[in-house]
Amino acid sequence: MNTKYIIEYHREAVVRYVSHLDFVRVMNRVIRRAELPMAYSEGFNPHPLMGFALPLSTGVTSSCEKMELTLKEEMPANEFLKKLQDNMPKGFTVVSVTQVPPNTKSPIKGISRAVYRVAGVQEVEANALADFMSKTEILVDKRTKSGIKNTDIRQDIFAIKQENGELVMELSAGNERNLKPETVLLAMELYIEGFSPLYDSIHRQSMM
Amino acid sequence: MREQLLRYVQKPTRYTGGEWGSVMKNKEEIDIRFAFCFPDTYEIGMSYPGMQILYFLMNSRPDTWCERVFAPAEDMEALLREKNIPLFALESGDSVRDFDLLGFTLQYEMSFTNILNMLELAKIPLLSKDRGEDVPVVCAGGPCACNPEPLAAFIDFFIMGEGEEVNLEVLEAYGAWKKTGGTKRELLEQLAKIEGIYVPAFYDVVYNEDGTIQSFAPNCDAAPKRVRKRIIKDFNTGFTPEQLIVPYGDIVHDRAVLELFRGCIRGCRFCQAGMLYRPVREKTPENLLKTAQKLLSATGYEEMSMSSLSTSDYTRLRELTDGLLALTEPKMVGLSLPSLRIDNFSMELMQRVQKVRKSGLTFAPEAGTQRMRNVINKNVTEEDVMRSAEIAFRGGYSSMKLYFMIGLPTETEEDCRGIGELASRVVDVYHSIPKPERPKGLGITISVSSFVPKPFTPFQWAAQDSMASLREKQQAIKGSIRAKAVRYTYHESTVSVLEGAFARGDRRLGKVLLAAHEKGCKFDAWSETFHPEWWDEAFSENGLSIDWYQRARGLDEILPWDFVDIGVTKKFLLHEYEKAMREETTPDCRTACAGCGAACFGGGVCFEH
Ligand code: SF4
Repeated sequence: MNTKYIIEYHREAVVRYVSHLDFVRVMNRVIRRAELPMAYSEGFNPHPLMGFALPLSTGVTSSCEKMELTLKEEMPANEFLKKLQDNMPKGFTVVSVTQVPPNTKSPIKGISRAVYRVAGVQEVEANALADFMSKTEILVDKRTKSGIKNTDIRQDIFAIKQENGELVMELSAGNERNLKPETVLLAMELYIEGFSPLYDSIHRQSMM
Repeated sequence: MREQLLRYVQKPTRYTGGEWGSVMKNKEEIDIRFAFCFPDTYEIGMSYPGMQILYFLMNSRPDTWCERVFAPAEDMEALLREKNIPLFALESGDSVRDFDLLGFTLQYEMSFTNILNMLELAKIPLLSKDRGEDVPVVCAGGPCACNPEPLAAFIDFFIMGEGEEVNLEVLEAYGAWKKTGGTKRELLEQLAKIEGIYVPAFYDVVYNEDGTIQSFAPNCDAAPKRVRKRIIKDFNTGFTPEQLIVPYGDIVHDRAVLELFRGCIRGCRFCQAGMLYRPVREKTPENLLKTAQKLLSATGYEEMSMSSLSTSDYTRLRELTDGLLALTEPKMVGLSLPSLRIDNFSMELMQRVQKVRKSGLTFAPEAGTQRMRNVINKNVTEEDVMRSAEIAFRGGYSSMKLYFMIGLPTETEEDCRGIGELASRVVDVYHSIPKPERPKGLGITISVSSFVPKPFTPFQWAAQDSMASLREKQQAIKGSIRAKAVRYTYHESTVSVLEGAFARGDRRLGKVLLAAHEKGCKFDAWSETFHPEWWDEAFSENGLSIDWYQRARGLDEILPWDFVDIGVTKKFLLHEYEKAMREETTPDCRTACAGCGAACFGGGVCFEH
């Protein structure tokens, strides 16, 4: 019987430039190397049943990635985890494998927010940050499907705080609305005097 | 260092390393650091199976760490220069300048400027004579090393022929030398004693006034008069990696490759590979299937292809393909077939492999008339072409691509018109098949390229056709196409003249190469980055003319590559050239041995009976 599993994994710095599309290809090969009893889609060009919570931008590391793999038979979670880990390129670390009980909502569906940590950014004065967050409209050039547009991103920013010299941002994430931390940095440059959008690295910490 | 750059470049995984299968080692435990340099982009280099063979071979030595280096793309090169960061190797990210050895693979002449550019980016002096004791030793190998002379000034030593055995001998000698702390000169003297190694500095060339060679001779005792290429005599059991590096990004050929055999029995007179890799040596289906199995489970590839110079000539092809299909079908691995001779067997095979899509077929008659095909020893008759076409059409294939060459020795306008006429007769074959028995939508493509004479072929003496003459010939072909269903494509290549010059070039071209590099020439194989005007200047500034290199060579001339012994003798090549002029053909190695000289290696097809 087809059984769904949720795989939680990290993407570390060494593989942060592997794009989402490339990662899909990586997984296809991991599946073959590990000889997993995958369930395949129907149709002309069957492909293994595989789903991702939310594509991760190239260059961003993460400790909260999730994907769903469907096997055509049950496999103990720890065995599954080992097979995956043994066949993943270094830098992709599987932290847990959980079987999804039948008829429950898949945890990779319905993601709407994510928390990012931006390191190596300039410190902002608390007042300036509060001021920025109190704006009712934040207009910035944003890349959309129909080209670059001046867009109001205020409702996609849920929180920004400073912690240990990093900027922690909770932003819209998902198919409906999505905002990248880099775009927020550009907006901050526009609205906060003297702020520079330069940063060292971005890390996705959680999704919900 | 590289971390700072990756964010700003396209396709960063070209530079990150860390792919599945790539080899990481602990620097502390390593004596020899070898930088395997491919003078082209990652996507192209990673598609050459030969590079991976030698990568895993050299890494099988515990004292050696072989890493990869590719030519950076324009954006990365600009950053390296701007930030003054030297070229780095993929695995460790360390500067190539700090390695022991750099090894360039020479797959095509038009990559030569990239070698110079890579050395420069690595902050290594370009000229061999300017590199001190603290600079890595630079070597090169691969098919274009068979005439190493244009690169003689830049490369410390060349490796002739197949690398699977000799590379290990080189590393062995290097390791021993490093321990004794000798000079580079001493190292090169040691290396020159290894069969297959050519140290250009150990030879002097004297030229005649007309630019031809008066003498070519060793100037030191360690150097042999002639350098014989290396082969793996027992190819069947020779080194074969059971692992491959699986790239992250999209590369040109992203699949597992199975090398069925080396060499070619055919002896087409224009084909350099056909002579260079003689004698033909096969792997058994048993071994190949074992390798296939291992490669698939080690890489997870969803596609596997067979490689060789002429797969239809593999003696146990049916057995092999049956075995491969039994392996790949249950795993849902695609088997991609190289261009096989079109016959009932290949039709049946293709039916099995490509269950869905009927893509086009390719066929390479190479020349339009029987006379011309006899000259080039392409043993394909008009009947063969027509029979193949009929089989293909009846097999449901409606499109067919026919490959031809122009600019061949003795070629006339009639031969060129023959190309269009041959295509017309293929169209006639289609129409002669009753409608219900043939597919709809006939499409024949004639693909024409221009011939470049290469060393170690019977045409090594022939003149290279001029651009003007090639253009006239194209017109003749166009005029000869009658049927609407026939499409004509021509790869107009100004590059081919340059390719020809370097293929048959001498040491004097080193100066031209250097000048071209200084003007900014690189990636010459790409039309966007090719600057013929810079090359023209580079030639004239050095008092050389590119036309001189296009000329026919005198039969008694000392050719720059004469000192290389590939087994096939000059006498045989000359004999073949004369037969070509008489329009006589030579049978393949299995029909009758032509006594080419390659039997001197003591293995392969020459001893099959
Ligand atoms: S010696 Fe004879 S059989 Fe051997 S490669 Fe030459 S022609 Fe072929």
